[in-house]
Amino acid sequence: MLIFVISAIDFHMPPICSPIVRPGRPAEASPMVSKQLSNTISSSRMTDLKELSLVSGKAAWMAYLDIYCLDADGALFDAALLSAIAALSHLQIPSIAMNDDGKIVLVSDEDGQKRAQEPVNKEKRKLTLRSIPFSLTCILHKNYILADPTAEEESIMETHVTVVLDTSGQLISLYKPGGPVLAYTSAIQDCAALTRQRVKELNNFLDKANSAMEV
Amino acid sequence: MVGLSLGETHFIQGGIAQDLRCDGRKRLTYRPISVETGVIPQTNGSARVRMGATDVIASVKAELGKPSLLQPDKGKVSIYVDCSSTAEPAFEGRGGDELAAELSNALQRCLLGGKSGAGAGIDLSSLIVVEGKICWDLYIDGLVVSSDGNLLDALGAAIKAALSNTGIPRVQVAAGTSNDEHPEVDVSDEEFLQFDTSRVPVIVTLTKVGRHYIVDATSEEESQMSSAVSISVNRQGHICGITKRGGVGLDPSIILDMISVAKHVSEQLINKLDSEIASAEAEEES
Repeated sequence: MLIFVISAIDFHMPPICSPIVRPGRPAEASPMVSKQLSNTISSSRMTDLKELSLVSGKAAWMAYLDIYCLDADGALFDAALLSAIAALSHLQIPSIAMNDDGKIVLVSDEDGQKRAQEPVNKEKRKLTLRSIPFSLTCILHKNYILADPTAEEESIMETHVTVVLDTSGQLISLYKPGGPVLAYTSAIQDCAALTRQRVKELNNFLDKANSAMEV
Repeated sequence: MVGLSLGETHFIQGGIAQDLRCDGRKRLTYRPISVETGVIPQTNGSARVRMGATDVIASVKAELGKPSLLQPDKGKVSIYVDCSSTAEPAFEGRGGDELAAELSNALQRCLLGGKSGAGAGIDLSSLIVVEGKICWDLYIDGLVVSSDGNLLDALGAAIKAALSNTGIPRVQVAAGTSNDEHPEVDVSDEEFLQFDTSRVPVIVTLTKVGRHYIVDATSEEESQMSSAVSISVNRQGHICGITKRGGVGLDPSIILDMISVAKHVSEQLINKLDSEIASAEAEEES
């Protein structure tokens, strides 16, 4: 029996990020984005949670994902999802061992000569990310679609559609929280097409960023 | 941060006693300081300050409000600090609230002066639009992004830099309004006033470890402290505020020494900070 530990995901909006947010009064968007993020990441099966398991039935890594919004200027979920993926793709899991008492201890690289304990996983390693989800938020207004709206545009328009696709083209989630404009099939298809294009751009962007960090 | 072994604590304390700290600094030397301004475009002013691995962001937001009845000729300023849970796992949930409140209170005392507003780093009268009716309310927010000691000095520096970066829209008051009516104002989108930040003090924290005290303590050094005194000093060399934390009492003569040393150190810090802010502003405009 294996124990899987699901990451806790929190999206924070400190007062620094928007004229609307004040100390003590949490922003309305914060729990919504947190929930959307949790749903998207678990639905996409982006990571194999077995990789976080260490000793069957005894120990596992817990990953806490904290996202801080520094400047809220629209399409918060898109920015949050992209930053979550970038952070997870940069995550490094330290090598650990189990000592005689059965406790888990970190193994430092300098300790190579005196390694009496058996390593549970032998070296620092990264998570394997499978199909990666990316999102695009659009505003529907009459016959027009506005991709990647600013905060000002969002506050005026009432109908938003968020499409999440993964890198293999599968639909992960579709989110339309009300609004007066009906989402006809053609509009949804247009949004999906825009998102497909966006997925390619963001995937390239993420690859370049990760390559730059590994140098 | 993991706990320190006995050997490590001896090493830290011995280094301080020998005036050669773990990273090679002397007791009264700051870590390298870098300043960025204009990092958050939706605010009226913002700045990011790094001292070693300590990383903080400060922003200033301005909105029109009504002056306090007690001081109808002055605007209002409030300071709030948020400790990000990405800075330290202990800040998860409400873990950072206590430290954030402590930092907010210390910054209020050091930068805003007393209730009369005298001695404030900002001339609060310059925030008045119509006396008794309309003033600017400033909201200063600090965010601790990464924590490796000396948060108060870093936040003080970031707020000073953010205020230097702040532009307040020019306000035109409609003529012909009678005294009883609420004035109509026109807020400009293009003209901005900037603060005179020459009187904004810097904060120098002196952390006592063993028989000596140091400036710009790292987290590990702070874990060895018996007490710490934070002194805010302005460019004229005047003390604007003093706060002490840590449980151990201090001999008054040591506190006087600390004040004298803080004045000396603050001169270098202010000059360094002002040049960093000037180059950051120049870089932002390019």
